Amino acid sequence: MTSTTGLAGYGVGLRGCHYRDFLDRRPAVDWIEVHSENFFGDGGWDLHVLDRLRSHYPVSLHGVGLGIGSATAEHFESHLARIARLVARFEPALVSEHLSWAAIPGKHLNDLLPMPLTTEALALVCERVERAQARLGRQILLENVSSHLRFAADRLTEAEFLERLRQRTGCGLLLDVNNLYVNQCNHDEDAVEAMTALLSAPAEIHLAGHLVTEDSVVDHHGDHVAEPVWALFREAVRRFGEVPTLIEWDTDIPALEVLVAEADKARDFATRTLSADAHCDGC
Amino acid sequence: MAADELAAIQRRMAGGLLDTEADPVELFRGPPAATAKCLALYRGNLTANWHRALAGAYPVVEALVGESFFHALARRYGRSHDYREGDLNRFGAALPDFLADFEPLAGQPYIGDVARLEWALHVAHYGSDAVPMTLAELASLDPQSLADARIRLHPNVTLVASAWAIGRIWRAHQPAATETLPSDPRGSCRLIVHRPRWRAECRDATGGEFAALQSLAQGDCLGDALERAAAVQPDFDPGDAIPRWLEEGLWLAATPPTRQGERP
Repeated sequence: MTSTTGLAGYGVGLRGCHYRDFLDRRPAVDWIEVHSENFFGDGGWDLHVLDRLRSHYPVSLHGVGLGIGSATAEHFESHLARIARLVARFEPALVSEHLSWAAIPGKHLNDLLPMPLTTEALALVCERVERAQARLGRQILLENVSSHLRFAADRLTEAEFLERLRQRTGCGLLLDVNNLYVNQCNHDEDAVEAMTALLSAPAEIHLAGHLVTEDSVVDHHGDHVAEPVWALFREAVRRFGEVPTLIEWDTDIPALEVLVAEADKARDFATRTLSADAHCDGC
Repeated sequence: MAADELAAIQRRMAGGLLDTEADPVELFRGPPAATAKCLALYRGNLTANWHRALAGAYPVVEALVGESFFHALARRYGRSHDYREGDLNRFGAALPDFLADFEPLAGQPYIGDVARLEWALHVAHYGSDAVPMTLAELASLDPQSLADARIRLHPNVTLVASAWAIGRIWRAHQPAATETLPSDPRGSCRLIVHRPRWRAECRDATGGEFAALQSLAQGDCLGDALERAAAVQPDFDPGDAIPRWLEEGLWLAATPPTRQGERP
């Protein structure tokens, strides 16, 4: 199986409002990530823009609609076929999905709903990941999600679930550090402990902003990365070294410069963390 | 966990989110009242996603009915419409039909036709990059058999006819609009939706143009289509209309150029 290669450094999510900036100014980011579903059309402007940008930036395809953990497989093959069409066209450096479910028979809910973390669910997701990797002829990454709820039936932590999934299928891990923090707040799950459950480095890291509300912390991707998330990112860099890292911003999207500055900030954080640790080797 | 329990949990959670059954609070950890609040957050997400997907395709309908009405419409539509796709780009496909039977808008019957127009524009935006026919290609066809030619419209072309002034209504809502919203929505129109390059557009068609293009879309040969046009519009001039259609890319190339390395 083709493993994940060809992408390093600090990227930003490419959104429609920044297409023109990217085409005209080629901002200095190392790579870009797009939501796969935004490119499911037969043609048009979005595909044209990505065609042009892919010769300047490595591309990561990030799916938000497969619902890989849905017990029903009704929507699975047709959705996968459309991802396969994009993989063939753009030859992305990374292809990722979420550890979530989205559909019941006859209806798609188009959301990233949390999985019951059980051995039955693990078996189902393993089988789906294997089918996806076979269909696409390459490794995919699975991302930990934020959630407002945990199931009474849960028998594993999400990190344990993902680590077992990675061991059984050879898939990669996309570690969303903001989601770890959100779940720490919402479910009292220790984010550092979650990282400790991972036996090797993730293939990609996501950073994003969240929103604190009275009832729950919401992973809304609509703000700067918060201080406690930067602290967890530093911890991740200490443990895993430099990992391709993405700034996600999906609501109240600011000017592109703000995203690029946030990616630069992640780069600085990682560089300073690694050099501080190197200086400390003998202390 | 017994086999199929996963499917049962997901069905019950979905039922709670779609309000087809009571909140299944016992499925989750934590006190029932807090769980119910969190389920409400997910329920709100569903509506917000539906609203965003519909607003992307139907900005003029949203402007006509107002944001809060549109939000409630999105919830009603999302719950009743069994959408089966994992991407929301085609989520709004059934909205024009839904609006036709939507009682709260019975007093504004033109909104369903505005929706049909907006959906055609949305589909054209994401539609095929197929090569349109050029004037040179048309000139290269055998003039003897031109009248018998079966011309196909470009897949991004949609012909929209309405008993309402939906073209004027739509144009009044565009950025840098030069027209104002008509005070009376009555007044029929015939529109051609197409995508010249990357931006989908619509324009008014003459009766002759509309009849000819509709006839081609039905599979009639060019000679018959032009006769239909002349029948509804005696001054219809194919010598004006055809070059304009080709300029706008309304016809599909008869012999698409093959890419290098592609088998014929």
